Amino acid sequence: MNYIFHILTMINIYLILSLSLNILVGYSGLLSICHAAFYGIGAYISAILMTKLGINFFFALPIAIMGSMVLSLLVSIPSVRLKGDYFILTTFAFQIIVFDVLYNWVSLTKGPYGISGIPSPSFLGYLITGPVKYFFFSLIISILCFVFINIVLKAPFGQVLKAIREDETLAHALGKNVTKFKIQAFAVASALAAISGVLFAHYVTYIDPTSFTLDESIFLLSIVLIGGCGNIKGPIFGTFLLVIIPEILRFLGIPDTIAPNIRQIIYGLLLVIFMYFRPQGIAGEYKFE
Amino acid sequence: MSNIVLKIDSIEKSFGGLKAVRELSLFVNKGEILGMIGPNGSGKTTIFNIISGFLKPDRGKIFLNGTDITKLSPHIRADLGIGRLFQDVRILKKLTAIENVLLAQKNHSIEGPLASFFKINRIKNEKKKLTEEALKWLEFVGLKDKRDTIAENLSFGQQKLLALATILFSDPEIILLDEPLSGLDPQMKNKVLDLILELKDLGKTIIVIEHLLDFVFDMSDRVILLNNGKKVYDGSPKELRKNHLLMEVFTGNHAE
Repeated sequence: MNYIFHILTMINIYLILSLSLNILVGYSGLLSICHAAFYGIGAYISAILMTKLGINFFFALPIAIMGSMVLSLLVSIPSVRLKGDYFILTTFAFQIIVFDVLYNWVSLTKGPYGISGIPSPSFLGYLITGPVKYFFFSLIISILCFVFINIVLKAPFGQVLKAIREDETLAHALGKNVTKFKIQAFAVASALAAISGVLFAHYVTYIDPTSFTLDESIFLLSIVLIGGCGNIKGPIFGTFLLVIIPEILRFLGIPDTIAPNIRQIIYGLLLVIFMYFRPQGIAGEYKFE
Repeated sequence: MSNIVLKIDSIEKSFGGLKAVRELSLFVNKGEILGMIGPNGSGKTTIFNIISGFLKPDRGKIFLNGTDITKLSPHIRADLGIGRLFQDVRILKKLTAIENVLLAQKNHSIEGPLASFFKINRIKNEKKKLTEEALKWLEFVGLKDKRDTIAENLSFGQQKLLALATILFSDPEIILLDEPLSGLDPQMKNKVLDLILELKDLGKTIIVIEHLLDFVFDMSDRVILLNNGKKVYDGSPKELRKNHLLMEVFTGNHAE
């Protein structure tokens, strides 16, 4: 039973990640491969604040969100001016830099050893721990994030992002400050990624840099592209599909040594097949070209 | 108080070794339709790009209602009142007609990511007001019954009308029309011509680039003839029709 709740908790965490990445990829047309970096930034900020300074979870969470938003400027300011492949390269560089900092700044992040003993969140003295309780906790947070994303994207803001995605020149000519909107989209998406990071860190109670690699960023991108982007339901499909597939493989009795490789092959194949036959994903409305 | 809306003061623009615009000055009076003609490559669209801010001139200045806008970016110029219809029809194909028009709204305070959380009532009121205004312009171009049609399902002519409605909705000080008649069937051409004349009656200020000279001469108060980035004629369309310059420029026999 705990196992089921564990998977559902991970789905909640990944839902926030994929829906927030969709703001960039699906709504703004910005193919970012550094989403796991913001996920990691959120996890590390909150883990360090709680283990080193003993700050309460509900204070650490907003600080992690703010930190991630500020750091998002490092990638959004230079990259909004770069188009296409150059933009992807910028996000790639940011992803690598963040991983290297987490890996090598040993005095702060404990480098490859990771941070262990991250306390569970407690709310008015009630400790939220164990898969069942944590599932409901993460469910509440992911529903709040879902509602938030829904409101933001249905508002004029989301409409302008779509306009920029479809025709940047036109958006410009209609008086939209394209740079400002891209920076805002990045800030919102990284804030949400940080929330997932915080949820993850305090759930598994141990984090190390390998959870926030380029592979993870590409995995998140696969969720969005296979599920479909440009609307809300696409990433939700993608999350359920790609988080559950590896769990199914577990029951097929594939040896542990080759399971991760098979998983990679399946993701790769799925991506190729979808890009070829159904570029808008399962339920998306935007085709990435 | 002068009634000059747009003034261009000796601008120059080169692309590498090619001089696209040379020492060009012009002005547009309020409520006037200025026709801009010239053969392909004479710099017409480049001038529109310079006016709307997508290209920066190498030299010279641009004034809108007396304010120097030479260094401002396109979105700020749009806010100040430069509305542009692109040559290749630009609309958002996935959005409905009314959504397209509404995108041109200028109240940027309701466009922030968190605006919906703090300004729910204001957005609601604003949306109602804006939608009424948008419908007014859709009706003006004759697309009111298509308000909820996805833009890509409209015909080419209707898409052009939609782009026009979008610009009119933003209530610009000056409207730049880049070949508004190209690619349209004769019936649609006449419709657009009528609309442009109707806009003139409403007191709108317009610069129009067009290849179909008869139409330009019909609609314009004044015409500018360009050749190789240089202004070679600026005056009434009636006189240009009789002028030998017109023939020379379009047959390539005009001496520099």
